[in-house]
Amino acid sequence: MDGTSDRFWQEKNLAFFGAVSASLSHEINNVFTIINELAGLLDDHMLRLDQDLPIDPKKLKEISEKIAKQVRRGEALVKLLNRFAHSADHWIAEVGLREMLERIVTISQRFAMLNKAGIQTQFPGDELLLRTSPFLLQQAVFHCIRMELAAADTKRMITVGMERSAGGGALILVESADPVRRTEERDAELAFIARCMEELGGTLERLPGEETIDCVRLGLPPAPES
Amino acid sequence: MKPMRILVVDDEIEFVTTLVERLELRSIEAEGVTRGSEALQRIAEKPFDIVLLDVKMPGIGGMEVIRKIKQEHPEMHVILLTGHGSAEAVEEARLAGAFEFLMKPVNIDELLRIFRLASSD
Repeated sequence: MDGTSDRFWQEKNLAFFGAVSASLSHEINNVFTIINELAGLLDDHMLRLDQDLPIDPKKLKEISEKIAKQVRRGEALVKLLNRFAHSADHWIAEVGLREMLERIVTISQRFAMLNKAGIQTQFPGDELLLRTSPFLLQQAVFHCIRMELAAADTKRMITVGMERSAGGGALILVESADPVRRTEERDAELAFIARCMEELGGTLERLPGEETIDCVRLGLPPAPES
Repeated sequence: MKPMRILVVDDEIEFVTTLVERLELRSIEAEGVTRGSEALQRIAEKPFDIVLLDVKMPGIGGMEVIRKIKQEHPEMHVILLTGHGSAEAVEEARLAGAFEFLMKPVNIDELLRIFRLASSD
């Protein structure tokens, strides 16, 4: 498969949805696991009452605050999963680019953390509104990030940025300080990202050389006049 | 009777500290770390009866840690913990020498039962 065949295309679309859903549900399960232990610890302390032993109110307050913190974390994850799932509702929709990039970066942080890497964002200026496919665009950015992460043999910091392009469209940049060495697999990834961008009426530019990838620039066309 | 010595290894610090506290309340000598590399270092410094080990962690993952533990300390029991256990993962854990493979969240009474089983093995 050359990275642009129909089967490869379909598999990548499904794999993207699966990878994100699995990662977020894994993290939600971690939240449940912690709440389970904290509730158990609360029970352990309450059992002391049955044995006429003193309990420390400060300790109970501390546990209850930790539970509340995990509930907030869980709420944020569920919201993220929900927003991501709904991004597939309409193939074309009005998209706030900054908001969408923030979402996909947040989703990608767990993948980065497992690779001992980090992702930072550079979003100067105002929100950019585009009419595009949110699902496909998220996927293109996610694959750019994953490609950088797959090459993370050191503590890599990936930067995701956005800016308005000269023609009124937008430019998304995914780069890292350490260049990514080109491989057959990464070239196939790039071919897939290029196909995503082609579907979006956009462009993909890889910088700079023959052997490495320093930066991937995704160009998006301006929203059509309504 | 000598208390059980348990090492809890998981990248979720809140899970580690809470479970360690609950085990200590049950007179178990428990310690926790959040990285596979820290676990290997701690095991080299001090013997443990049982290692409770998360599968997915940044850096050295649980499967790699268990192989290293079993190479150096074949007598040490390792119980793997995961949020999502596929049949392949269970088989991989068994081949790596895991005593048990548990799904999160885990019930403390069930955990204690498995600890006792491992200790009497």
